[in-house]
Amino acid sequence: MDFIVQLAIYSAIASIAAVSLNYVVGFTGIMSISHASFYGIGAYGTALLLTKTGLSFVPALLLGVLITGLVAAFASVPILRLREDSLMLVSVGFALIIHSLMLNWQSLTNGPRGVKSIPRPEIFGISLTDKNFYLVLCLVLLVLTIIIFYKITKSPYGTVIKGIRENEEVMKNYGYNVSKYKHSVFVLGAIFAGLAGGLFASYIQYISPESFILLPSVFMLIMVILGGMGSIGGSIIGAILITVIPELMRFAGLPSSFAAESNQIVYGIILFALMYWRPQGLFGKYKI
Amino acid sequence: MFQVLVNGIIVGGIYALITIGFNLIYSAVRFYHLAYGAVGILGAYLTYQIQKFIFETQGGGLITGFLLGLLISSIVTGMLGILIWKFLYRPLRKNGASNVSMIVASFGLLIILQNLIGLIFGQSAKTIRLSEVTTQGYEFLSASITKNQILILIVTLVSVFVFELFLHRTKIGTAIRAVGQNSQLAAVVGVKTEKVIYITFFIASFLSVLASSLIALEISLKPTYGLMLILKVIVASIIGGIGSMRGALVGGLMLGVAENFGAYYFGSQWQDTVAFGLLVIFLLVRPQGLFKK
Repeated sequence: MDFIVQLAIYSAIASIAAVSLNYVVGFTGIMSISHASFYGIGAYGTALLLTKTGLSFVPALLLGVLITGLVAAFASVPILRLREDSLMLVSVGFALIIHSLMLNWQSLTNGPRGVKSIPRPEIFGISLTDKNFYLVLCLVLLVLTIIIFYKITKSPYGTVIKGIRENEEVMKNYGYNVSKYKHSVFVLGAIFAGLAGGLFASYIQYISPESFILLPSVFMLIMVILGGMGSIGGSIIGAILITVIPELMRFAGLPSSFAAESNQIVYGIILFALMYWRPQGLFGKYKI
Repeated sequence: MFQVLVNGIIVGGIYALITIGFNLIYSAVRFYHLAYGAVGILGAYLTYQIQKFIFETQGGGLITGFLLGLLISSIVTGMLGILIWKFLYRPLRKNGASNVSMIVASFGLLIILQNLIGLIFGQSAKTIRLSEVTTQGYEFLSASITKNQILILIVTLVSVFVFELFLHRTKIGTAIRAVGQNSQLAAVVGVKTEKVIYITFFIASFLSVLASSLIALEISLKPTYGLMLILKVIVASIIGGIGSMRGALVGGLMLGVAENFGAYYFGSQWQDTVAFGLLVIFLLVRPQGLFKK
């Protein structure tokens, strides 16, 4: 039971990250591979505020999320000047620079040793050290995330960003300030990645730069692509599948020494096969 | 200072060698072959294994083993390059996959190859040695150069020279350049595009193994190094202008020198940051690179 609750918590956190990435990649067509960096900034922000300043959980998480948003606002300036495959490359460059900062800015981040003993939250006097309570918190925030992104994508604003995905030039000719829309989408997406990161840090209680390097970004992208570009429900299913597959493979009886490699091979095959048979993903309509 | 420059040029030469192959593929098929880095690293592992086999069981010398390993592994991996195009990329392209799709699929392939290397050869780091004891370097104008570095320089120079001759003096080379400039036009005037792409994948994968094996003389190999390598290649390629051969040479050298000076001034832990900072700057200021209009 404990194990299932843990998987549910991971799935919920991954879902928040995947839904927000889908908002950036699937709905708006900004092919960013730096989402795990914002997830990481949220995680580090929250963790450092909790351990170093003694703030309580809610303000620490909010501040962590705010910091993520600020970094995203700065990062979006160079990243959004490009498009498609060049944008992918510059976002990879950004992700590696952030990782290198986490690794080498020792006085702030404690370097490769990471941040240890991050406290579990306490909200309105209820301690969430109990996993079940933590799951409730994650689910509440997930539902909130889904409602927010659902409302946005169904709004007139949402129609504009989908228009940008389909044809940027046409939207420009209609008189929309495309760049402003893209920046706001990018920052909001990053903010929710930061939220997911903060939740992750406080749950797992130990973070290190290795959790936020390039591959996690790619895994988030796999969740989105697998579920379907531009489908919120799809992203959640994608997030659950990618979280659960490694656990299922454990039951398949592979020796544990091969586990990490064979998991990743499965992810690689999923990516390749999707591009071949279903570039729109399981539930998406829009092909990348 | 001079020492830093020399080291930078030597590493830069290797980057140039592998970037030439990457650009060759890019200009023939017009997408980023990200798995290319892992292909090279797989080849370097093969070189290591063959050298070990020759040295331990056949009684050959380490240098003979290395050169023989380099040759065999380059050819084998070159064949693998052709297979990757024929059975993986080509069907995708025929299916109408977009450039972004191709890059994603290629990343999938990179992950698969990287982990296969890990499964086959293990996760522990491996270094290719050329002698059983660490030897003294040579002094050259106040810089010291190791024997490994001299071998690297020789192999790099010879490869680039032979490749240039091949590209400009042979019929196949001309066909490759024609396809790179305009594949449809080349097909119209009777160039067998498909055959040229096979040859391109072979040569490029061949070069990637040469370069990766040379890198393994300087730093230890790890299965996951393919990702870092391909990112460096992309940086070099974008600095020089993607698809340009001269650009690959200059871009590779510049990257190598910049990295070494970055490490010299800021400490070696910032070496990669310097490389990717350079990428960001170039993409923003001169996205077409130095040698492209």
